[in-house]
Amino acid sequence: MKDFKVVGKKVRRVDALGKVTGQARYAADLADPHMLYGAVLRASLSHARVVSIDVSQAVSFPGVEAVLTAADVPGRNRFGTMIPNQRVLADDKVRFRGDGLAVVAARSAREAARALSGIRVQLEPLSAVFSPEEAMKRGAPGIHGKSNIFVHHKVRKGRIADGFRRADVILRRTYTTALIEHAYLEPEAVMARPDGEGGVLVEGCVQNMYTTRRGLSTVLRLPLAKIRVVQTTVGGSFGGKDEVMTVLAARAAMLALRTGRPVQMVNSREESFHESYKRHPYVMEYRIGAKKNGRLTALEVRMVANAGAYATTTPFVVWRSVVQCAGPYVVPHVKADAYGVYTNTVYTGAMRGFGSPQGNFGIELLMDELAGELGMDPLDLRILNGIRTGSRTATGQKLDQPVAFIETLERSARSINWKRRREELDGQPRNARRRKGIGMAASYRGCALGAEGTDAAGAVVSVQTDGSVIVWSGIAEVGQGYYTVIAQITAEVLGVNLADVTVLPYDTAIMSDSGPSVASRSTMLGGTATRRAAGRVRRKMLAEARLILRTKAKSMDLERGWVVSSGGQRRMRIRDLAAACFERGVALFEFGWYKGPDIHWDEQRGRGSPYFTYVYGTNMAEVEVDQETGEVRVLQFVSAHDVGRVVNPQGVLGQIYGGVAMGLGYGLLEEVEEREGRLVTENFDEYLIPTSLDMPQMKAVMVENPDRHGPYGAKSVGEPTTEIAAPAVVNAICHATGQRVRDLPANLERVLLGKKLVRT
Amino acid sequence: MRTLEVLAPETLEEALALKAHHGTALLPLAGGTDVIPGIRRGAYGAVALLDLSRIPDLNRIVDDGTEIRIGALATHADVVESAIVGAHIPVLSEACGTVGSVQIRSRGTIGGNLCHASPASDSVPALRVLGSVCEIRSSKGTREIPVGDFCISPGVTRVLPADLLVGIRVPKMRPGSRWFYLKLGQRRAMAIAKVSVAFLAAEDGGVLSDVRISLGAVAPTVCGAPRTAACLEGKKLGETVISEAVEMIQTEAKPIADIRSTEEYRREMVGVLLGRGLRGFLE
Ligand SMILES: Cc1cc2nc3c(=O)[nH]c(=O)nc-3n(C[C@H](O)[C@H](O)[C@H](O)COP(=O)(O)OP(=O)(O)OC[C@H]3O[C@@H](n4cnc5c(N)ncnc54)[C@H](O)[C@@H]3O)c2cc1C
Repeated sequence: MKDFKVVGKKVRRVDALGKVTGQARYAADLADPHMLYGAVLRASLSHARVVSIDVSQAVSFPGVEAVLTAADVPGRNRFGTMIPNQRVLADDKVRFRGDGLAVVAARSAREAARALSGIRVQLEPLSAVFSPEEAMKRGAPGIHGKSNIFVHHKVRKGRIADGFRRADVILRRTYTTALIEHAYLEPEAVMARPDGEGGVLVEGCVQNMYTTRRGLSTVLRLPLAKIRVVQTTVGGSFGGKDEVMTVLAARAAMLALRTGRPVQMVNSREESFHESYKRHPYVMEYRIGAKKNGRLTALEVRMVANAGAYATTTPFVVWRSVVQCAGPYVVPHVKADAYGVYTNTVYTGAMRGFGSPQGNFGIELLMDELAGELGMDPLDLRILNGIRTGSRTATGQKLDQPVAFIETLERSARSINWKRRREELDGQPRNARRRKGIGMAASYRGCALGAEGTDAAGAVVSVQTDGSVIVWSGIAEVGQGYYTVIAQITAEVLGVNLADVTVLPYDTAIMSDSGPSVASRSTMLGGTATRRAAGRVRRKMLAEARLILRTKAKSMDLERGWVVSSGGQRRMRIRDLAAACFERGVALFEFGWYKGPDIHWDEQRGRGSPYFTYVYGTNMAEVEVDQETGEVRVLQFVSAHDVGRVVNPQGVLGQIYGGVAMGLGYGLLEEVEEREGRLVTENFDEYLIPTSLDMPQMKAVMVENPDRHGPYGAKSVGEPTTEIAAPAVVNAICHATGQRVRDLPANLERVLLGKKLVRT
Repeated sequence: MRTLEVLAPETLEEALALKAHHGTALLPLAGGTDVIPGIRRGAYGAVALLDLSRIPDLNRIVDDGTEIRIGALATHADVVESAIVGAHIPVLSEACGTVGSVQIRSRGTIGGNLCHASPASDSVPALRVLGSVCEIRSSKGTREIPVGDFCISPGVTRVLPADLLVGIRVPKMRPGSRWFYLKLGQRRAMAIAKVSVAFLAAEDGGVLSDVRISLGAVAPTVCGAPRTAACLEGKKLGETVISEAVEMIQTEAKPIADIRSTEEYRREMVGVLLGRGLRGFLE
């Protein structure tokens, strides 16, 4: 393997300076001397028919320039990916309390807010349902159509009855996970400006520009070409700035087009809590069968996801849950069904992990319970059943790429000294006030979109006449460090310094639709597209260099700012070559496109090869539980991930540390609470996420297992890092106390009393 | 974005005159850690703010011989760092040290903590067992109200519209006193108490006297546990006595359920914290 100059080296994020110095521009920082401020009137009921909305008084409030309702939507008041049933503003019905009824644009934020009180709304209450259990009952009020069950995905492998017949031990368990918030630092914000030609420019913290643009096109009845979406610095997203940003952008754009003035809309934290979608809470029922020696024989799973009021990405989220439901284990007979159900609660959608944190929580707790039942060490049970190269997954896919799962298990175990530590801790007195425990969890995860849709992305690399380089990508930086990765790849290919490469903001006017920044796909897809674009430029540069230097040598290279010959002699500066190319009329501007390999999914039979490659991971945690109060301290944490190839070690560390923090929040603290559809936790005083003092000593183990698809073999790291921290820590708690916690979060009350909080 | 009228008097007399004139329309502003989020939430209606920060000496902590006098504007950090407090009323340092985070302790004041009258206010249980007295001033004069009577219900105190809280007088602890402040929260920083217990007693040859117990976050205001305190009075600490006290406090406390915890958990924890603190004395 050629040794790399930039790839694999520790580098500073290309966007670090602006962020740490406060110079980075967020959408709420944008200003325009003519701008108006938008405000939203939201629903006061969870489920109701909209009888009338009277804005006649509100329009004459001081400073008000426009008040709009669903009746003012120029196009179709529906958007969404698979099942477009989301509204910009409520028309027929209100389906949850975050639904908008009307929007105001006024000369000041205060005037906009005041005008909301002048809007007269008549709602006719409908009976509402708040849990999937109620919503699935026959005769339950339908939220969109008759039935509230709108998604069912399944996986079938072998013959489930045979599998259970062969089992010596059969276990049935139910696990539940909580509704949680992305908790990004920056609440949603946009600025929409009319372009004077009937089109609109939207700037904001949009995660998925092309999705938002599609939504706007439908809603505004404008061709895609008339809508330009430009991304401002995103203050965190974690999957959360998709549909909610489309809603915000569409409202701002409607107001901007109506008034002919720029309109800014910024959600407060409370509005963000009320309106933005969350992670789906799941109820998961399992039946697992195993031989006495620990070999798994059968797994039956039923998962129900609370989708809240709208469909959004639920079909895909639920699909990933069911596809990966067996975890990284070989199970000969599998029957799994997963459902998405509407309720009159805040809607749920994409969040880092995308259906995996729930399923991983279930299967990983189940594996520990099974190990307990069999009297086996949980690590041994996982090694025994773990997938290896050539294994078949629950969907029947043969894993033909090198599988590094066992390596993540073994390296984590070595790092935390699993066997010895577990034995030592088993020796603690049962009734000790503080008791320690260690636990683990593992996963495999399909990279990129898989059978969700076509997976392709583009990038442009353009070398300037002074040798500096501009890169545009069709995939967004949302904090994950992607721009640094593509800058590194470009610098590697073109033999320039990282500092010579500038990645310009994501803009729909420049790049072809490259799909969303989701599914841990940025580096794999966008990185490969960038490598291809840079490769094209490189070939052009070398061809020109040969002409200029009058040589036919094939083995010339670009390195550290120079054109070098095979012997390593420096022949010409890249900077001079770039200038010469310009003089010779050669454009160093190239587009690269990469489409992921084809995959296959048979929805009818519930089997196939849903992803073209996978990543593997193991987390291990040591905790100390105060057995009198239920307090949990996480003492150490090991997170091992197969990332394919490490492009930026700092970036991978950041993803691992952040992923663990998010996963521990999921495991121990976080829960958005609703009472009859009314949000109780609406800010960070009651919605608790971990502070730095709650974080343990963390050890990141990067397992390199280059894949033939990603750039230089790189795969994914963003989501896997957050999907198994919660089960690892909960398994550790159970090891410490000898009591099972089966519901999230494992907060003080639940650890101590084994019950959910009863709230008044 | 909103604009707020802020009056910033330079003297206490001026501040009291303004308060006398405007009453409840003028909301005192100390560190603002409760006021500012409250205004954003719309909890106070249309008010102007009376910024107390320019009034000299309102944050002083002085040793008055038998008592420590703490200015209402002393921050939690001032209290924690004060050698006087550390030497004579350490239970208060302990309590103030558990407030929020470094940032909150550096802004939030002890006066604000009292006037906010949250059942979970950390300084209040400690001030209460110390037998502290609040000094309330208006342009008409000074009143004194024991901390135990100061809070009426969440957010409501004995401070009248024309009043300001100017300071707290805290009797020094007797040498050899036994004390603790224990707080239970969901995370290790920035955690409002689910339950807290403050304890103070004199001890002579292992025998407790003048026993005082205050409970935070279990009732609408910080409250006492007089029956449990009485049960410990004159007792020599030992496992049996402690177990009795724990059992008693679990029946005596009448915990509430709210967003932070359940009645059941709180009841259990009041006992655990008391037991833990008392057993600590045996070590
Ligand atoms: C993130 C965060 C974490 C927190 N954590 C904790 C915690 O762990 N424990 C805890 O106990 N509290 C906590 N608090 C609450 C708060 O910080 C404390 O109650 C603090 O002591 C309030 O003091 P302040 O000076 O900021 O009061 P302010 O907000 O300025 O005032 C609070 C109230 O008292 C009134 N007031 C203030 N001074 C006077 C006066 N001299 N005379 C008359 N009225 C007056 C004000 O008008 C207002 O009603 C937290 C707050 C935040 C924002």
